[in-house]
Parts: sequence; structure tokens; C-alpha cells
Amino acid sequence: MTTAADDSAVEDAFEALLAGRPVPERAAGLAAFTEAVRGTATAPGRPSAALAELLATGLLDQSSPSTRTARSAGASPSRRSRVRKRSRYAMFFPALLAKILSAGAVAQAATGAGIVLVAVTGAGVAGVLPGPVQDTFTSIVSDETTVEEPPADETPVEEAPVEEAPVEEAPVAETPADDATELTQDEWLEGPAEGQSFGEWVSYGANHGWATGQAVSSAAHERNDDRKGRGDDDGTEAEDAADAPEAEETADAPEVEDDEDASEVEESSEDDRDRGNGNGRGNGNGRD
Amino acid sequence: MRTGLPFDDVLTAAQAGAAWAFEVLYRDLAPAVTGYLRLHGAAEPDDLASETFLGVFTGLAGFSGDEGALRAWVFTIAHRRLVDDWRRRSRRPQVAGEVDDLTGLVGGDVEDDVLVRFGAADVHRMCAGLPDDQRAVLLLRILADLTVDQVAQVMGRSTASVKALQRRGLRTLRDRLENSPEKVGAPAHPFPALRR
Repeated sequence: MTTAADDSAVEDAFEALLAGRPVPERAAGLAAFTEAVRGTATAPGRPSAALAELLATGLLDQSSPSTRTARSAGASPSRRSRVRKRSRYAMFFPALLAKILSAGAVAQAATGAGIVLVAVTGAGVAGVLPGPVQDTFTSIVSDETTVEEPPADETPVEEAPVEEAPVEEAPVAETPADDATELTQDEWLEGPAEGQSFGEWVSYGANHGWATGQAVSSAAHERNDDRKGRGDDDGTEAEDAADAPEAEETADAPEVEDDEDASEVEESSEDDRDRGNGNGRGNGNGRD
Repeated sequence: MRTGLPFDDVLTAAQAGAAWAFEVLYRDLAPAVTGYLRLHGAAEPDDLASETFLGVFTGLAGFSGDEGALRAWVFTIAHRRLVDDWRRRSRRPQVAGEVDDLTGLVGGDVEDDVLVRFGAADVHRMCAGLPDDQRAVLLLRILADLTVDQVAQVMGRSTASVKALQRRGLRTLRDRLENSPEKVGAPAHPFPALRR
């Protein structure tokens, strides 16, 4: 039967053993056990491939202990932080390496081939490959590049549609509006001028950055009131209703100034047509 | 450090990714870590130790502390790997198969090797007879040279809890030693390598 005093004596002996102090005779068994435990841990295990690679190459440089020590001893805090930051970035590679090494043979081969391809391509672009290899790389790349270039004979044929593009994409109504009269913002805010359609007016304002929702809306209401006063309700409201959303879209669309922008306008307008501005949630209750 | 190099210099170099510093730390800590994992009955102690040191070296940039703190941190990682291993295997540590692995760790006189091998088998058997937590406390104190507070930190327990586990573990150990037919520690014990 063990007592609290026995426990305490064993604990004292254990602490003495760990501290390297002599222990009483009765604790010889514990001392032997402690030494035997230590005896089983005298050699490191066999490192895995990933760890062996890390031990062999490190994470960054291979400076000797003396130079590394000398530099680190006088390192400023900012340099230390830089070193740590660099090493953090470098942590990625051993982790990646470990994952690759733990992958299957096929995955390793595929990954290795991919890495080599990317490395060679990058080196080729940088022009740092050895002479003959760089020449070959350059010729291949130039071959691939020239495939996309049209033959000299076809160039005029392809250029012709390009010249037509602005004609197709630029609203026909815009050009006369711009050319006809130069309006100030105040004049524009008064509404469509004589001979100017509502759409032309909105486009003009949009091109000059004046077309706000409020301005267009109030002009539309004013126009509708005028028509009602004239009894002109024969289907023209439908035209107005169709114009209004287009006016908003035009206000948001980039200005058409040159050919490059024209293509962007085309894309955005196509997107807008596809998507629409509605939320798809009607307010109807489905009851007559 | 056992290597004689100033710890701060080794740590700084290792944090910068120097291979020689990794080597120094590995040689200093790997035997204890591998022994800890092996005596806990890990199925692949070398692999677990490798995983531990990969984690140590890749996470070293964020470490700050003295040598004792580094040891505690390394064994914290090792202990977590061990617990993960237990969970994966979902069974108690086993002694079988461990003894043969130890034969490669000793060299020299054949008779001594055999006797040390017996001793290692005894140690494995006695460790396997301890509950996991008690064994972890005793091994961390003996192999990792950690204080009770550091062991508590490694195991995620309170200091009082670790002291209680140590007390119970030592009591269990003493009972087994006293009742052991080999009478470990007696003049004729089978640990000739341990005789002074």
C-alpha cells in the first residue's frame, strides 16, 4: 500500500533525476527506467523525402554559420522583418514540395512536366535560354504569332468592315444632333429643340454628361402632357415608353468616340439587352 | 544547445531558412521527438517526426522565444501529430513491431545490443501499460526536458492537472517496477548499459 509520503518521495526523486541530482537507493528502479527511456531516444528517425530535401537545401540561402551569425547579430529590426517576410513567402515552396512528393507517381510526373514547361516558357520569354535553344524558342513563338497575322493580300479585305463598324454601331440620330447645333447645358435642359426627336435629345445629353434621370423624366412628362393636350394619343406613347429605358441605358453607356470604344459599346449594349433592367418580380396578384 | 552553437544565432538562421540551422535543430531535437512518438506506440514514428519537423521549419518564422520555448513548441506539434495519429488509427498504441525498429539505433558490441534491445522492450512494455495522458506527462518530462508548466502548455491542460497525472503515473510505474520479475534497477537487472 502506498501512502502520500511515498508519492511525495517518488516525486522528489523524479525531480532530482530530471535535474541530474543523486537519488536515494530506493528510487534506483525509477532511475533505471528514466535512463532506459532516454536510451531509446538517442538517434533521430529517418527523415522523409520532403524533410530530407528541406534539411539539404534549406528554404533560402546556404550561408555558413559564421557569416549568417555575423549578419544577424547586427541586423536592424527592419531587416529582421524583411527576412521574416521573405522566409514566409519561401515557406510556400517546401510545403508545395511536400505535397508533390506525397502525391502519386503519375501526379508527380504531370506536375513536374508542367513546372518544366512553365519554367522553360518563362525563360524563353525572358530570353535567358542558351543560344540555340533560345533561337528555337523564338522561331516557334514567332511562328505561332504569325499564324494570327493576316496575309498581306487579305489586309484590305479585313479592314473594310472595320471602317463600316462605326456606321453600324453609332446611332444614326446622334450624328445630326451633334452636327446640327451646339447646345449649352441650360439649353439642353429646356427639352428637345425644334426638329430634334426625344431620343436624339437624350443621346445628346448623355454624350455631354447632362442626362440625369430626373431631367429625362421631367422632359418625358412634359412631352406627354403636350401630346395629351393635342389629343395625340395614337400609339406614340408606346414609342415614348420604349424610348425611356433606352435613354437611361444610353446615359450609362460609355461615349462613342472612336473605333475601340465602339466595340465596347456594342458589348455593353448586348449585355444590357440580354439582361434587361427588370427584377422579374411582378406586382400582379393573378386575379381578374 | 548540445551542439555548442549559440541558440539565438541558430534560431535566427533557421528563421531565415538556412539549411545548416535546420540541420542543427533537427539533430538536437529529433531524437527526443522520435523517441517520444515511438514510446507512445505511433505506427510510423519516423513519418510523424518528419511531419513534425516540416511543420516546425515552415512555421519557424513566426516563432519567438528561448530554447525551452522552442522545445515546448516542437513537442506541442509532435503531440498534436500523435493525437491525430491516434484518432486515425482509433485504437490504443501497440508495442508489437516496435522492438525490431530499435535494433538499428544501437551499434557496437553484439551482446550489449541484445541486452539494450531487451531493455528497450521493457521500456516499451511499461510505457504501453500507462494511460495515454500519464505516459505523455512522464515522457515529456523525461525526453523533452520540459517543466510541468510547459507540459501543461503542450497538452493543453492545467498545471494542477499535469501534476496529478504525473503523480499517478509515477505511482503506477513504481508499482510495476516493484512487482516486475526482472526487478529493474537491481544489481542483476537486464539494463547493463545503464549500470554506473
